[in-house]
Amino acid sequence: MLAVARSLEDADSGPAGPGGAAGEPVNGVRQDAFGAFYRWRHSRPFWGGLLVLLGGAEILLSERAPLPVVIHVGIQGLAGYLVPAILLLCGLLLWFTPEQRTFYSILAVLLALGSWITSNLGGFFVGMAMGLVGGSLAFAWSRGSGSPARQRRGPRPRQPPPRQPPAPRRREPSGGLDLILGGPRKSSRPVRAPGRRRRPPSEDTAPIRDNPRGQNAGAVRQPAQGSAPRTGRLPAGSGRALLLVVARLGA
Amino acid sequence: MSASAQTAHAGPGRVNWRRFAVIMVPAVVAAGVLVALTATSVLAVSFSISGTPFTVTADSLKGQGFEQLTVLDRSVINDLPGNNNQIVLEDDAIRSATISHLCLSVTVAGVNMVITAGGGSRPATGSYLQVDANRLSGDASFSHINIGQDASTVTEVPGITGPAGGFAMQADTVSINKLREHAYATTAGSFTLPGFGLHFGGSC
Repeated sequence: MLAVARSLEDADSGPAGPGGAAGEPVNGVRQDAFGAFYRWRHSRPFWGGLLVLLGGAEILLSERAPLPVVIHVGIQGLAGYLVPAILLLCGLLLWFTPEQRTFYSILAVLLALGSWITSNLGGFFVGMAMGLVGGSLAFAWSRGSGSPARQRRGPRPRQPPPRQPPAPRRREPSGGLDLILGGPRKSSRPVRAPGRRRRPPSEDTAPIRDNPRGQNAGAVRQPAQGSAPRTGRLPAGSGRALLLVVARLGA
Repeated sequence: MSASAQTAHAGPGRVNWRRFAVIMVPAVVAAGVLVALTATSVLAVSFSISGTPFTVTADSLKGQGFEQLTVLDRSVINDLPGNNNQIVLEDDAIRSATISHLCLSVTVAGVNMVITAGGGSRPATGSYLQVDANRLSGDASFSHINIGQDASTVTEVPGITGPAGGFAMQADTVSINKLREHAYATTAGSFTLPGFGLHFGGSC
């Protein structure tokens, strides 16, 4: 609790310096309406949500049966509307409650599959494909990490050799991060923090790789969204851990 | 300096492509299974199309319970024949039908898409088929046909009636060979499509 409070204070003092001047581009992000949209778009699974939204809308548009017929056909006719409507809703909720993205993205994938049966072969395949890709994108989306090195680590988890060189590069930016944000938190989790520094390249990479990201995501988000991180960080981390277990079982 | 570097990368989320594959691959496999089950007519699918004209052809159609009404369909935009927003259509409804060599072509986003089914020994079957067509041709034969019945009193397909005073006909059974129709709306409660095939381009 104390650690969280302290990191909140630190985080507040951290970005205030460069972001102080209004109207000036901060780190390449404009501080006007365009910049606001940029930040909104990048703080949620935007493309995944958009694809799910468009997929649901496409399926809905492809079928417009007269209501009396729908009611008479019964649950199957009603499902023809219900499935794409909920799919569309999933797209909206992915945007507006990105913390719940794991649930909504899986629901979107299942609904897209179900729309094949209920709604014009999934809006003649187009809407179903959009729902599948969008749901998967939203599922795979995660909050940005605190340093560019950590972002670079994401796309190549399967190549152990190139991950050795980045280690010194990573230490440089994350050293400053740890000083400002990570310090108090590290003391609250003494088991995982040291493992991050000298970890074996291949074994047990996944959970260790993910935990610091979860920490930093929560810590860096704090200046933007008041008290959100404390509620958001825990489910996101646990969901990620669950998924990694699933991923391992599958692999 | 390091603080500004962090804020630059604090907001943007990113996609972990490995996690993408973890859910995308099973989903695509499941979609393939759905298509395969549809093609073997284990699964029945449901149709309801409206707004875009499409063509349906079939070698033969045998139906139980047939109704035909005349309806006036309205479109929001004036893109119907004659720059009109109203079109007189015949509304054909069949309670249950068996269709061989079914072919449905519809234009989705400028691309012609053709769905074929029932090509082999097993015909496609459908229930609660309703088609609003402006052109219908074929060699038809009916049994126990009643022509000129009031549209509000037809009973062969439950739930589908016309306005009182409208023209309608109904029959116990219908059989149409070399069916070809140009339709604006269709609804099918459930459709089994053995030998299901979907391809883009071409026509029926």
